[in-house]
This record gives sequence, structure tokens and C-alpha cells, in this order.
Amino acid sequence: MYYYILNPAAGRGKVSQIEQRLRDRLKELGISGEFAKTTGPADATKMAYAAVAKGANTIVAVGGDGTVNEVINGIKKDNVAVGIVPVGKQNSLAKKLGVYNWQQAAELLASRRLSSFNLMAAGSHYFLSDLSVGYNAHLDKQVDSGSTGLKNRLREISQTFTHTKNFETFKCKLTIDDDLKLEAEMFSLEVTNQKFQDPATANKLVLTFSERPTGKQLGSQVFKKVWSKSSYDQFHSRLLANRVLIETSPEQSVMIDSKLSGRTPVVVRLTEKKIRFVCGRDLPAPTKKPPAIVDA
Amino acid sequence: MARKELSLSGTETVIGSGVKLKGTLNSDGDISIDGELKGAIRSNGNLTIGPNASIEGNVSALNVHVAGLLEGNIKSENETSIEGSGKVKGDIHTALLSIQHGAIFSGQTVMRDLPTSKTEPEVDDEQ
Repeated sequence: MYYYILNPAAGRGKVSQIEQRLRDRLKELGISGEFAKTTGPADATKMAYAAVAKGANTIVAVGGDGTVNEVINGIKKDNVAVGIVPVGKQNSLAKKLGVYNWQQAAELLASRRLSSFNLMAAGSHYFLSDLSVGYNAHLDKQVDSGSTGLKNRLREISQTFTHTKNFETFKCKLTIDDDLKLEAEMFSLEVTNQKFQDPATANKLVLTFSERPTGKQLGSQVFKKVWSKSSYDQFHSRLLANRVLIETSPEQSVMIDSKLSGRTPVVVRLTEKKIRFVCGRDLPAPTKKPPAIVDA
Repeated sequence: MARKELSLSGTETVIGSGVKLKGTLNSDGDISIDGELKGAIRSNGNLTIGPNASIEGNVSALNVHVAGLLEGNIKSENETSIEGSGKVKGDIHTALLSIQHGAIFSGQTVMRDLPTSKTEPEVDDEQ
């Protein structure tokens, strides 16, 4: 049974614009199911938990990164599949799974191409993709991204430049697998799952961090951030681990799967909890304007 | 003095300059280190000790390449090489050894046979 969790607040209300067309398309594809709408924070977690308890074997998050994150935190069983219909502002999780728009998402749900990933956890909070400390997390807090319109875009560029120029490095201590202690001055730190980056590899935490980049590197990064919405991705150190304690001085914001989620210190670990995701990876990305879907 | 950069591509573990480590650094793959480490390094792949690196401890890997400072013993399955900028204070157990002009090495060497590689029987494609 498919259970669709719609977040009406995602993507500045985009859900309501596509809801009927989405329902119709899912019906055509023979994967119509139960629909429910969130009304506030953490609703999707409770709804996903209840749906699995009722016997749903596929939970679909219709929303943005935050909705997906809430859904995976509500799933306690291994044999449940999670799908994403991306209608958020950035949809970075969906993009990383090869899901680009609601029309393609519906097709993928019907074809049911699944990839399994171990979740990571920061404390008791499970997540799929990445945890950031430093520049990327701070940037997200300072800059109102995802805006449209020339005026808003110019404001975003200006905010990004100002933030980048003023951002200070921080002292960081990492305790890796309780065995190795690391100290460095950092600009940005990311934790992700190696298998999420490359499905051919084993599940393992990948820690990447960088020192303060040169002016040229920063300029290039600001350009990438503004135009392609990509995070700061230069690194000068990289390690694999199963568990890491991150301590910083001064305290830093922590961003999990594109959502600000507390501050350092934080313990990140690779968990045994596996979730199967409906993926479009390895398939050609759809053209920017998907073909119109004609109602039957 | 300008820092020399390590080549990072294809390497599983990379430790840049300015990073300080204490403990044992283990990896199933290649390791490149250009920071400081007090402890030990164990790799099933290649180990590169960069020009800015300072290591206090024993290291073991398939191949070991030293361009920085190492105070500890080296155990390598195949080859050990010390560049002109490299300094090694410790013993070296290896099958092949190369030391460039300008390198400093203070210790003993124990040379061993190269591990024998299993050869596949030739297959005649013409059949």
C-alpha cells in the first residue's frame, strides 16, 4: 500500500498547485493510495510511523528536504520503501537520488527502482545525506536562498558575498572511532555516507573538511552557490569512519540534510537502520521542461 | 616558503597540512598525509608521507613513499622510496628500496623477497 504524506507548506504552497494532477497521474499509473497532509513540524514523522504500523509498505514524502527527513525518522521497519515527490524550495535530497520533478517522481514510484542505504544519526536524529558544520551551515542561516525574481536573486548574491568574506574559520576536534584524535583549523566540515556518494562502495561515514580557501577558490564557490545552488565542496582532508565526535570552538551551527539542526558538539554515527529509496540514479536526467501530462 | 600540494585523486584517506592527529590511522585503501601524526599508520594500500608531514610512529603499507619527516619504522610489502626532501629515522623492512639524492636516512634496512604474484594460465583465444 502506498501512503502519501503531503506538506502543504513546502515550496511556498506548491503542493496545492499540483495535488490534483499528481493524484490523477498516480491513479493512471495504478499506484494511488492513501493521502494525508501535515499541519505542523514533526507531523510527517508521526504520520509515517502510524502508516507503517497500519501496513503501508511505501511511504512517499510530497514536499522538500525537511519533509523527507521527518518521514525517515518515523520509519522503524527495514522492509519499507520511501519515495520522494519533490516540491520543496531546493529538493537537494531528491536530486541526489535522481528525482527531479513530480512527473518523473510518479513514473519512478510506479517502476519502483529501489536502492538501500544505511542511515546516519546525529544523537537520536536519523538522516540520509549529509551533515555540515561551518561555512555551508552558516551560509544557509545567513542567506535566503531559493528566491525567484531579479531583485531577490541580487539580494541573495550580495548576502552570499558578504557572508563568504566575513566567515571565520573555527577550531575543530574530532574523535574518530574512539581511537584517533584530530585537531585542525577548519572552514567547512561535511559528513556523509560513502555509499550515498558512490553506490559501488560500502556504507561508511566520509568526513571531509577544508582549511580557509584562497580568494580565487572562494570566488568560484560563490559563483557555484549562487548559480547552481551547490554547497562548498573543496576539501583538503578526507577520512572514513563509523563514528565521530565533533567539537568546535566557538560553537557552530549543524545542518542536517539541508536543515539547521542544533549546534556542536555532536556525535555522528553510521547506523544499522537501512531504508530503501525509490531512485532515479543512473537514469538520464529529464529535460528541464518535462512533457505535459494529458489527462485521460 | 610555498607549500607543496599532495595529489588527492583516488586516495581513500587524505590528511592535509595543518592537521594534527594522535592515535592509529587505519585504512583499507591508500593514505596521503601532509599533516602531523603521533601514533601509527596502517594501510592495505599505498602510503604517501607528503613534504609538509611529520610522523612520529611506525607505519606499514603495501608501498611507502616518504617526502617529509618520519620518526619510526617502515614496514612495506613491496617498495619503499624516500624523496630528496624526505627524512627517515627508523628501520625499514621492505622488498625494494630507493633513496634519492638529498634524502636523510638513519636506521637499518631489512630486505625481503617481493611477494610472489599468482600468474593466470594463458588462454588461447584462437580455439
